[in-house]
Amino acid sequence: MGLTSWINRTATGGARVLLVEVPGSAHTRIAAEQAVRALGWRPALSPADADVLLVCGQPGDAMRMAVERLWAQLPGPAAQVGAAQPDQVAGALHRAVTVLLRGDRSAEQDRPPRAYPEPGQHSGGHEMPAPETGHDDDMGSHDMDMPMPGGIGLAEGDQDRDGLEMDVLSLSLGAVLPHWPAGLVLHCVVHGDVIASARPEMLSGANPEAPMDGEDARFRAAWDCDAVSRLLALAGRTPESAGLRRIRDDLLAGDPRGDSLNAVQRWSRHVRRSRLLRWSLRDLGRVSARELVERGLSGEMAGDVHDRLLNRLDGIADFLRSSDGPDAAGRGDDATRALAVVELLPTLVVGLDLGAARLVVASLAPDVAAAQRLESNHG
Amino acid sequence: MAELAVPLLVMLVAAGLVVLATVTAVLDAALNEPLPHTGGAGSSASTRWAGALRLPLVQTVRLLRRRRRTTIAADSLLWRVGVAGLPVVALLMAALVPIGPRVVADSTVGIVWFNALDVAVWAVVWMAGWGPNSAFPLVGGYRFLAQALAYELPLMFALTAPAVAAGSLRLTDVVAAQHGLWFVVWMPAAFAVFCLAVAGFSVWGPLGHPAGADIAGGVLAELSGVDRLLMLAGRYALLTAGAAIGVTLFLGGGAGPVLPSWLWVPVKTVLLVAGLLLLRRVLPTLRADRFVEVGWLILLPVTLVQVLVVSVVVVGTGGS
Repeated sequence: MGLTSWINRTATGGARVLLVEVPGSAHTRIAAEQAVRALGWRPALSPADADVLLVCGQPGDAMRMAVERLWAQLPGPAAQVGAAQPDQVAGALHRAVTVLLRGDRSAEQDRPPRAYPEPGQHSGGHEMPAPETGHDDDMGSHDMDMPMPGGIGLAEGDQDRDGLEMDVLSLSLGAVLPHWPAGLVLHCVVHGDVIASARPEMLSGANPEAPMDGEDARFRAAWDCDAVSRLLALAGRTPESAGLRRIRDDLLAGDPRGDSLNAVQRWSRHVRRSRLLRWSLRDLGRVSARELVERGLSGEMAGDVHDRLLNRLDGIADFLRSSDGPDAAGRGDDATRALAVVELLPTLVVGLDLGAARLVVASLAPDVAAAQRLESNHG
Repeated sequence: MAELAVPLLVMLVAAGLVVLATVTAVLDAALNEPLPHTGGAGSSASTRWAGALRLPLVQTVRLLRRRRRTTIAADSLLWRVGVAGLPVVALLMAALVPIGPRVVADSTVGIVWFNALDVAVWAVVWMAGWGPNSAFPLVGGYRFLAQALAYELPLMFALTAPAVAAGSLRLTDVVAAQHGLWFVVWMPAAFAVFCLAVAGFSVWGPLGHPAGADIAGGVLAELSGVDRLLMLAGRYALLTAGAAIGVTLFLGGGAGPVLPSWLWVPVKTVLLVAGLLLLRRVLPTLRADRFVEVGWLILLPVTLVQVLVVSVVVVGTGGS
């Protein structure tokens, strides 16, 4: 008994949390990130490694289905909890701790769970016996009358970017991936790991957070910090990424301008000085200012991923330098731009491999919630 | 010097590898993990170390408590072989390291044996990526092959330099040949390439793209429970074993003042590991597609020049 409870306590102390951000719930997700780290926990990269599935915001139907599919992939012990508002995060994590301390697997939901095991049933061992009949995957060529392993259809061939015959694979990026824009799904056709075509889809939240009037400029600066932090995390720059996350938290908490300005300038210098980072990010997702204007976007997104990274950092510094945050653009304008960015994505990622495409998406950081506001207004 | 029975020596080396790999995991967490943002600057350093020290224990218990999982139409055999392969390769590498006067496997072709082991990692990581029949691990597995293509040839030439200087492929001879002057002093390029390659075959840090966050953990994405534990532990064990080989090849093995030579090997290994861990602070993730360019256009010529210099020196001084 003592040993079991020690194991449960120790294991709970190192839990990993998979955060699902419903579009329009950035405040809740950021609060959740802070709370998770304050507990000494860490974000999980995939459902297989997550002890807690924390849904930030109220998911709409499509998002809810994605959450259920994810939840089915969490091996126990695990807890699924939800926080619709930032102030509900602490309570949700507390409930998750209770579940993990019991060693249970349970989800709190407003609908009955379906295909996956009932809470409390933890037998250990495999959850799903794998059929041992031959293995086929998507990287060879096959006859059509071969068996379909696990009910998965065989891939069809197509010409890749070098004119070679490759099997094609349909792969959806999102809606839940580390450092991925909330609610965005990019339905891709890939040759190997090179994207051949991409179609964006936006999953909606049931009840997005109300727009914060008056705090717009500050929130936008925090949003930019978040975007830069995620891009740097994907590029493997952990210290700078953590630094920008801290500035984001400070911006949202209060407004210690002087300190934040110094910090932004320091990290900005780091980023600018790193030749390796420039080498790694240059020429990715290059877009001309003319094309941006044609799409109704301003020129600040012109250039490649590295240019956009530096532009965003400059924008944050400019905001912090100005004594009074000027609200440059209204909400409607924001939505138009966000939708244009989402529509720009497929043209930029085609022909890139997944790693490069992820960097391009992160550098554009589309605001899906804003784009949806426009889509729903128009019908 | 009392002769140790071989089985006892094997167990000591295995236990030593486990201990040092644990130290590596602790150091990695302490040096590289971002701090939680709590405000209290004074307590943060001690919090960081307390958390890092507990990390291996906490994560081991957590992963052992979690269920294993499998995926639809997984190739279970290859998957399990791949997952369990990393620690095995690391152990076989550690067996080559002369610890003081003793060594588990004193092969006459030790350097080639080491090279063969690091090529075995290609198969192991690829199998771990292929096995789960899932897109992201598969992408991770192939990313590793591309990355390995970039670092492997430079690594082979980097390994050639100490062998040429010592006139032998036996690791104990290489250590003996460094009497008076460690090879790192006149083979810095080979040493640097070797260190990068160690990070490469450990799928770690700047060369951890095959297990990157952008593909949800890549080869690790579908792993849970004891499988994940084996693979994570295997990565740290490989980093440690690679560093121990680096100590043998370039840093004089057990040579050093005051301490006995069997103790110098682990001490130097930990120091080299700490140096390797700091790579993560300096370098961004080296994406496989761009790293191939570096490997073949920069690292390969550099190591070739290094081998040329070493050969000329050896010939000029009339053999070692």
